[in-house]
Amino acid sequence: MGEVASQPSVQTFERKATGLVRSAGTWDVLVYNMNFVSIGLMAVLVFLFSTAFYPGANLYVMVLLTFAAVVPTSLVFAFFAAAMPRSGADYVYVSRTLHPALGMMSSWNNTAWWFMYGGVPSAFFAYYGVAPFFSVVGERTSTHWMVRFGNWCNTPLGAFVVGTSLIVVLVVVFIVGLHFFFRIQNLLFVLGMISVALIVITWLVQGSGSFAHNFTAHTGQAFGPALDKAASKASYGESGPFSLKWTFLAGTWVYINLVFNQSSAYIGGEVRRASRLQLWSMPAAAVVTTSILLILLALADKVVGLHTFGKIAAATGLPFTAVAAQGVSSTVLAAFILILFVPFSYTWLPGQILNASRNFLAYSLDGLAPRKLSEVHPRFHTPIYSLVLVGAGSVGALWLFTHWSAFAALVGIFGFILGFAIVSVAAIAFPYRLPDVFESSPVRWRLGGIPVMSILGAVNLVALGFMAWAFWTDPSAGIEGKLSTKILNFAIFGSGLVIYFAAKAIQRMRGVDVAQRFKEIPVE
Amino acid sequence: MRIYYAGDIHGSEKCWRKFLNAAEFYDADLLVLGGDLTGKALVPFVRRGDGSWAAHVLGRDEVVREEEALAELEKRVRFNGFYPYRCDEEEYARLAADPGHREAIIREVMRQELARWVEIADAKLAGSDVRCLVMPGNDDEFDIDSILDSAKRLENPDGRVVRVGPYQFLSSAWANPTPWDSPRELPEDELEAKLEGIATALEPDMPAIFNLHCPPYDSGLDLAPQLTEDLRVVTTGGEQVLVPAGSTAVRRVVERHQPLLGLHGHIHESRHAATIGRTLCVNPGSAYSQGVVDGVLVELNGDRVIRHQFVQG
Repeated sequence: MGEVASQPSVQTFERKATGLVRSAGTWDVLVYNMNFVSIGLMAVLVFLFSTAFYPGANLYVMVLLTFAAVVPTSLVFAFFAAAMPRSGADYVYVSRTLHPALGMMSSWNNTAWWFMYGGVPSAFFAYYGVAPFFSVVGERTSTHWMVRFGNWCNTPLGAFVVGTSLIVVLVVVFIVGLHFFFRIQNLLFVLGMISVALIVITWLVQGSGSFAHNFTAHTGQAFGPALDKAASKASYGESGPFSLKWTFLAGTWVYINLVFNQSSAYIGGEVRRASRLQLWSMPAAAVVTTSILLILLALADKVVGLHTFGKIAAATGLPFTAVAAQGVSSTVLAAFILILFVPFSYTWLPGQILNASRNFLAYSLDGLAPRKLSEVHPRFHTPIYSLVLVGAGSVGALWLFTHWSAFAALVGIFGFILGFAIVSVAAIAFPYRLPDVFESSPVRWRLGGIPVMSILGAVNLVALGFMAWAFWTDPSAGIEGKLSTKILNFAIFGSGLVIYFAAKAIQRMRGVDVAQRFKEIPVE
Repeated sequence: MRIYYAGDIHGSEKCWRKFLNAAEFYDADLLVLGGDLTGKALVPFVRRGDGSWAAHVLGRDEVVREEEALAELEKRVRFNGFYPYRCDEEEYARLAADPGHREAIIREVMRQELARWVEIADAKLAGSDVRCLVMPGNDDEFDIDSILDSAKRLENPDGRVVRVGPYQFLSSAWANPTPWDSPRELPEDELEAKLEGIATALEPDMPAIFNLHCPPYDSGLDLAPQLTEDLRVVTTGGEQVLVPAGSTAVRRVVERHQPLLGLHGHIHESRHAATIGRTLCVNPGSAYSQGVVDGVLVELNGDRVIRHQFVQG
């Protein structure tokens, strides 16, 4: 209806009223999303798996293809965050646009997988944070108890104990002092980035000969035929001619991190003008983290060679931080690289615990979960029962992850994709189902008369289709060939509907109509 | 008795119309709007020399030429809780340069819009048995009181005890001090004295409902983003830092009198229910800018709260 003004903007005048605050800092929202993407874990997984087990994969092309697949998802969430600037993300978007039952289905799917993934990063804390530091520094300083402890952390029992300790500490911290955690979170982010920066600087100045010499000296792993033999024994995917299929499949390890660049949709609703911030902060987080990954890949290529890196990863199982640390002559530098990386080894975990507990609180307030879960501690004002429940679920998932090979790191991403698909359908329908909200939103753009949001939803469905195929097909993803994990993904996806209708029946007996929760009151 | 309570609609005409329809929609016996009716901003529609109208709407500069398009744009502005104001370039320049004139115009437009809302309410509720309590909040200027008082089908319960069926409602629009120095704020000790003054009219043996715009301090109903002195939201690690912003006076009064129910608003982000002693306190939050009314349905029987349910209408 309107046209773009060519004259200077007309000002809006505000009166003095409560709630008129300045928007959240762009840096804060960016950091939040980057923390969820987790640059460190993304690099660990790419160097450990994508380099090693995907013959013919071009890792640079892989990163760019995965980035392209992620962008539509992040834009769909960003558009929704701008149009419905409320916390809760898909629970609100889908419930209001399609149906509360589908909103619960989508949201519960995420909550359940956050439960599960509480186990994965807490195990990563043991495998890629604590163990490498103690093992490498212990070996290089001949401190045997450190070596023994590092090795123990890599056992199922060790990872379970260390990971459980982290979960317990975080849950207690979240119960008694969320502010304290947030204060140190930025510091931990900086420490992790210093570790990555040390690796970047090291690889920038280091030659391949120096790396190979140091690495062999410290690990005893020779290069050349010896490495080839060891890698081959560990199922290294021999490099061959370029393969688009394996290139795409190798991207599953990037996607598992990068697709969570939309996490600020869950928290960013309360602040005025945050909606516009969301529109660019989500893709920006993807751009920044992808760029850092590309820089790391290019430098590793220069110093080690990506094929050689893949062989090292397959033969030794060392994360890239440990590979970089063992490639330097200075033990102090190696120790700094590894100890500073520890906060990056579990960065998914705090957000998962918080988001899942927030969702339980919301379900409880909406009558979809026991009322106890929305009770807050009288002194600390935190949802203590929700947090304890999520903590207990995470410990259970950690045991599964450390003791059951079928429950691999990528198992649940297929489930997340199913949830994202519902949000995409909601995005397609949103301009037509809620035209007033759409027309009053800052994203009411059209292309050829079709709402851009609907187009994005459709494009995202295609992108999600590709990624669903990748996770279904990828032999490392934990789904391919495993009926139990396939069933688990669909069972969790469908369980939200079961919970919704069960809660609805229980509440109806109490005289409460749960379906009323999101029903819109007529205007006229 | 089934009560539908909402608050903090801040000038959103869509929310106002929905609120008036809520009794029929939820089969409620009583409607209560707990304050902060009026909008926060004026959106000038400036008539340009070429006959077009220019405005800055929802972050975008818009220019319209047809009356129909102009009316549609104004509707969108009202939808989000702002006040559209048609003016020429000379008047716009005066608005921009003269804070006193700007304040006077905003208040005038606010009064006109609220008077129109009252007409809508009187028309919608005509012939209905449902009582409708609508009071101001801390953000509302004092000159809206007389407009509310002039309504035929609305009752302004602010500052007194009103009897509704077997229950008595104690209502107050006032809040403890905020960083914005809004019209109805008092230091905690004065607020407590004011509330206790109203409470002298309570009948001892009748179940009471406290309709207090401001929530009790540290109740979980009052968590708001912490602000810096220049009103920036404090964040750490990307997360907003939330702090209790309710009133200690309200808390003490609730603890002392232990009403059956506390109905609160004021803190939009803090949708929650909590018990203080024997009192169930609820804050449904607010999402007025999306044209959504956050409300709560509370069912009472005698001196018991049977159930409550948060709804987003």
